[in-house]
Amino acid sequence: MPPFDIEGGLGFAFVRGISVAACLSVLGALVFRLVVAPPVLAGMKPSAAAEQDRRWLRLLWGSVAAALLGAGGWLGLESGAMAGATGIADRLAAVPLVVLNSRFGMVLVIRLGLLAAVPLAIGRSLRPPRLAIAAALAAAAAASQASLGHAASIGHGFEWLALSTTLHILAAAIWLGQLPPLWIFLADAPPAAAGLALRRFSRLGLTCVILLAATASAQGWGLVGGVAGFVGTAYGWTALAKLLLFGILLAIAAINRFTFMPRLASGVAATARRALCRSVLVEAILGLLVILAAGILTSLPPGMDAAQGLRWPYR
Amino acid sequence: MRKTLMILFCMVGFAGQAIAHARLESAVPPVGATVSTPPKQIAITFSESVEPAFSSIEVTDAAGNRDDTGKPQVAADDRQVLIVALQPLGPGAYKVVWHAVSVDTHKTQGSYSFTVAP
Ligand code: HEM
Repeated sequence: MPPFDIEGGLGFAFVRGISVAACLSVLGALVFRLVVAPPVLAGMKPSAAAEQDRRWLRLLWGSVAAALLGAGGWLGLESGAMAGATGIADRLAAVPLVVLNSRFGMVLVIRLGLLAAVPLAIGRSLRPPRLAIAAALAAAAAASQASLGHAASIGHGFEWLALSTTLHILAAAIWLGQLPPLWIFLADAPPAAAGLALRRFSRLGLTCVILLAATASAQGWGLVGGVAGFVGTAYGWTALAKLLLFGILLAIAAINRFTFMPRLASGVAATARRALCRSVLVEAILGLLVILAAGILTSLPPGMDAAQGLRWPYR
Repeated sequence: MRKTLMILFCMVGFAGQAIAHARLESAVPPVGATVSTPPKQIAITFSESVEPAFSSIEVTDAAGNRDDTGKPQVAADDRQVLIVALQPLGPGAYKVVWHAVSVDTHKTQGSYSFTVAP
């Protein structure tokens, strides 16, 4: 096995992954309520629709809180590491230093601001213009992650690889970030509404999957470093693990769409809805694993660099 | 599958070189070089953009005296180039020890020498 030289250790990569996942969950929840849910809720009894909205709001506030905590925690940890601080007081003193003097610090402070503005944008109503503003804020917060990866550190000006990573992260958010609200919705939805929600989600999900596959290929090409990078470096192994999880996620999505969804309109609708619910939960958990793996990937030296020390005929 | 991977691994083999995020790509004066005019600054080009506030370049002579002026800066037009000014150097061998934090927050370090010819 190649050495997993994770910057700051696994705990750091985990904090990074969790904070990114929470941020993607905020965007996914908003996209679900703004794009997928409206016609579905309109076809439901008003009391049931209102209950769905209450549960959705709890999920949104939970995600915003987790994303704020995650970003704050990551900023605190990383600042200490960047400044080489050891004690608690030194670590705390390092935070303003990092905020004022590094791209990482600046990006995280902007992200904290964008996330904190989401509740303000929504206010007390779920009207589409407010949801759209909140979604734009969350999209900016999620996209800012691309400026902290490898693609944004190499090269001088505009980089196609950085653009690819931005799209990669947004597609991940709009696909996997919608799974928690979808799961919550399916848990208590009439089969017809569940079917409509899934159909609308699938259409958007498919676009994201295509975008993820395209951008993953671009990043695989640009950062992993060919066959040597894939098989001979920890970076390549982690990318392969992501590829494997991506394959499993696609299989689950296909089962949901082509097996469970048609059954929602048949005599076994109640059983199908329960099975679908479980399946979406499993998909969401695997989605979280891919994002955690992405956190590890970004904390490893890119395969194309690491592979330079390997004797391998194909580059 | 496992077996295939193992075989691939044996074929790949590691050359045992240190692996980095912000790698030193080139330096002025160059790594290991002997120069006839004493340089006024050290400029290291890295494979990634670096954060000058958290990076350092220390230059010492054979007696261990510091010859850099302290705080490094990045080049105005290129954040991948880290520059530190030097005190006037006399002939002799100098050691350069660098620590870099890249903009993606990864830390790397390394060292090399150069000589100013008498
Ligand atoms: C469901 C599928 C996927 C999801 C949800 C996903 C998610 C992500 C996220 C969130 C990041 C940003 C990580 C960070 O900055 O902390 C990222 C980066 C990246 N992803 Fe993916 N990804 C997926 C599939 C793939 C696949 C299949 C590959 C290639 C085999 C891939 C290659 C990359 C690369 C190379 C980066 C850049 C990492 C760096 O900065 O070094 N991804 N991905």
